[in-house]
Order: sequence, then C-alpha cells, then structure tokens
Amino acid sequence: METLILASGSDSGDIAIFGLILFAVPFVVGWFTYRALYKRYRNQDQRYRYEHTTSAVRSALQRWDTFDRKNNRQRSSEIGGRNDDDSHVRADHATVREAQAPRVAQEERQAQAAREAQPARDAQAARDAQAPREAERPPQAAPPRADGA
Amino acid sequence: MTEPASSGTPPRAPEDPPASPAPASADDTVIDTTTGQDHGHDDCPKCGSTEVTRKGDTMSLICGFCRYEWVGSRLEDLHGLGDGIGDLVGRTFMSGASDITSAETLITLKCQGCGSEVVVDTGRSLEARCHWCRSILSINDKIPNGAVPDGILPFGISKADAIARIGQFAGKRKFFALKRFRAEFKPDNVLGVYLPYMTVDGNVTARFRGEGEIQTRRYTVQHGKTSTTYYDADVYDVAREFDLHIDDLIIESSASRSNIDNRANTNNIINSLLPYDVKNMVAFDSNYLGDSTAEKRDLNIDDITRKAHLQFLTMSRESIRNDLIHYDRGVRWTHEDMDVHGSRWATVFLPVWLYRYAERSDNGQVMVHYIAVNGRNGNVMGSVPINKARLWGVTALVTMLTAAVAWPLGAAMMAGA
Repeated sequence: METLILASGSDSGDIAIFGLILFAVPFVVGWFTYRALYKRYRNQDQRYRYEHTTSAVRSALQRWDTFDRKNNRQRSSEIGGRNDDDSHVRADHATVREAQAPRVAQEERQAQAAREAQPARDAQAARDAQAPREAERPPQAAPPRADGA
Repeated sequence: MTEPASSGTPPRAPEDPPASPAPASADDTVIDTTTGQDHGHDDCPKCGSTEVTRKGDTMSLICGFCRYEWVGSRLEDLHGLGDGIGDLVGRTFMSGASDITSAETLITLKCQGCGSEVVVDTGRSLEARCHWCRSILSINDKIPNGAVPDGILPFGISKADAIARIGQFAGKRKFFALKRFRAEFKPDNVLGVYLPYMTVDGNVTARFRGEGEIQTRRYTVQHGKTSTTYYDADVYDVAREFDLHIDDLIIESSASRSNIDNRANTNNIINSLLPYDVKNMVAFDSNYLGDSTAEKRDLNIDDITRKAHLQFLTMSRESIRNDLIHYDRGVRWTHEDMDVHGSRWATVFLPVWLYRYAERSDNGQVMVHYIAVNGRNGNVMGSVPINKARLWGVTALVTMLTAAVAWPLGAAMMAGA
C-alpha cells in the first residue's frame, strides 16, 4: 500500500469553520450526556450476545477469491454497502432451507376394493310454474263497526 | 492475498428475493425423556418421605426425613446431547419439546397419602402441598400443556446474594431514578422464577457470496483551498462455504418473554442474562423447584424455528469474519444461503431472580421494569425507571456549562478569522 500526500493547507477559512463547530459542541455534549445517562439506567441495548457466546465449530471451509476489477479514486475508506462487520445485517438475498430426514419406507398400499356402482339417480321432475305473486296491497283501515265502537 | 484460495466456480446462491426461512418440513426423531412415573408423591428413594428439597445451592436433593442425598442425572450424559451434532439429520427433539396439545393448566391429583384431591396450577408451579396430610404432590412426567421441560438448571445463587446484587445495582442508579421507585424500592421482594427456554443444536452448511475490496493506495489531493483523500482498491468476487456445528443456542419458549420491544417492555433485560451453563442441566425433577414459581412454555418448535434459523445464519456470518481480515476495505455480502441439515431441541427451565416494578405513565400506560439476576452466575442487569425532569435538567446544565466555555472561544476565533 502506498500513501502519498500531494498537498495540504489551512487558512483563516478553516479557523472560521472550527469556530462554528465550537458553537455546536455544547449541543453535541448535551445529546451524548442524555444518551449515556439514559442508557445507564434503562440498558435498552443489552441483549443475549448469542453470536459470540454460543459454541460453534466451523469445518470444511472452501474459499473463492477472484480478482474482478480495479476501483480507484474512492472517497470512502470502506467498500460501499459493507455488511461483513455486522452479522445481524442481512444480505439482499438470504435463503434458509431445512433438510428433510430420509423418510422411512412406507408399507405397500393394498389395492382398494372396487367400489360398487351406485344406482343412477332419477332426474327430478320439472317443477310446475308458480302463479305470479300479486303485489301486496297496502293495509286498509278496518271498516267501522255497526255498534260505533 | 491475490490468488484464489480455491479454483473453480464459486457456488451460486439461488437468485431468490430477500427470503424468510423456509417453514419446517423435516421428519422428526423423538428422544424419550418421559419418566413413566405417576403424578403425585415423588418420594425419597430410601424412606418414601415426600419432604425432598435441594441441599443448599448444590445440585443435590436431600430427604428432610432420613437425610439421604442424591443428584439428578445430567441430561448431556443421559442422552449424549453434546455429541454427534455433525450427524444430525432432520429434526430431533426430546419429549419435553413436543407440541403443546392442551391449554389446560389446572391438574387435579389424588393424594396417595390421604386420598383427598389437590389442584396444581401448572401455569405457575409443578408442586402443591396436600392441605390435609401436608405431603407434597408433584407433576412427575411430561404433560401435554408443555409445562414440564426435559431439563432444569437449579439456582446456584442464593436469595440473599441476589438481593444484595439487586440492591447494589439499583444503588448505583439512584440519582436519576424515578422518585416513587426510590421510595418503593425493596429488593427483599425479589422472586425466584424458572423461565422456559429451548436449547437447540444445529448442523448447517452456510454459503456466502459478495464483493470484497483491498486498498492499494491512499492519497490526498489539493483542490484549491480544500483537500480530499482518495482510495484505490482491487475488487474481488468473494465466496465462502463451510459447515458449522452449533451447540446449545438458547431461545425463549414463552411468547411473552420472546417479545422483545424496547418501547413496550423490558424483556431485553431478561434476555441479556443468557447464556447459562446448560451443559450442566439435570433431568427435570420438580423437587428442584422448591419455593420458586415456574412459567409455562407456550411456544412450540415450529413457532421458534424461524428465529433459530436466523440466529444460525447470524452465527455463520460471525464465524467467517476472521477469514476476511485481508479485505481491509471490507466485504459486501450480497447472497446468504444456508442449509439446516439437522437440529436437536430440548426444553429447559432456567433460574432467574426477578425484581419487578410497574411504572405507570401519565397517559395510563404501564411499563414493567425488571432488575434480574442470572440464577447461576450472578450476572445482574436491569432497567430503572427514570426521572426525566431531572435528567433533562442535568442535560441542560451540562449543555450550558459547555457553551460557557466553547462559545466565547468560538466567537474569538470567528472574530480573529
């Protein structure tokens, strides 16, 4: 690996930027103070670190490392989309398959007895057409009774 | 490292969309851990008394009548659980991990001493004392509601020790603690509880594909008044394939404990007590429970298979990290592919000393805070309710003090520039 510094410099502009940063510093310190104290009391980040504490023995490792291309003049010191440093971040394509145990051979099935033919169903008689219903009449007032009641 | 470590074509992972683990489909093999014992009296093998308790914090059981002592059988030795992970094919599970087929928690036992009927609430305990003849009645074999596990890890930390540890933990967090919490805090209220878990072994093959970069040059270029650092790198197609034998991953088998959501509960505290020394678990014997309560398992293997597989995948990724250090700019995995050839499941009760505090917020919501102690190694973790007014006040004070120093300095620099 080769390290080459072609030029560097600082002037009054940098000092002004540093001065602006100093203005922001109290808020950053306040934010970190709140976070640190909250974390100390609530411990929300605590969990079972199974990936570090569970025994796992690796074997039969096969590697393929094939040069593909050069990627020059990158501004970042890391590969884009890096995820090897956080094993909880899933890759774009993740597949898990659970294998089946070899099945126990099943007993040979016996041929089923032939079903007896059922008697053919009789066709249903055609229904008689019903007379069209009459529209319901509105209820009529009861006729006055002779006794005047 | 520029030469391929192995020739040939790297394995192609299936071009599936981001997929969730496949549902369980394997045939099952059951390891029988049933005892064949009837429920009821669990007598001293020497004198027949039911007054059997644990001897202090040891793994021994002792008869309170004739003082005879014996130790439960280690499940690992009994069933060879630590061996043959590479030979696992399909699902193997112990009887205690069988599917739950009954929701009934109350079981009525007939006392062999006096004939009276005694009800055991298996949702909380697996023992009850006969109210007439005072003999102890136990659930001595597996029952279909999932309450009886295959193994148990008895408490190794005494209650007094747990109280001291909880008191010390809370004592260091008094200043910002909620005023009511400080007033009501009584570590004597700690309870011993056995929580249900499953241990799972896995025989898996993992394949990963992606791109890795190795830095070849780093240089800084001046652009007028500013400068920029650039990096040159070689890009490699990277693939890895390997077998992984996972031993005793522990997973919650209670739905309420399994739900870890920091906004709604503090279950992460209990989760963080893991792992336990499950290699030392003994075959379940209700005499180990003593005065502690026990929470019933309510999840089946199918319910936690997805979680187990994701954790297998994470462990596979973690196990290959040390093989990638020469990719100093890192690796971007694009494909993860895992075959679970076999898994082996067992259920176990793990001991926790639990202090519980319910914080009722102004909007009526209740957040239960736990301070918990691992009943085996004494590790303590907890969540203490916060007096937010005091926390904000101190934060503001720190901010102002920092400003009192930084701002005049910044103003002077700006003026100078």
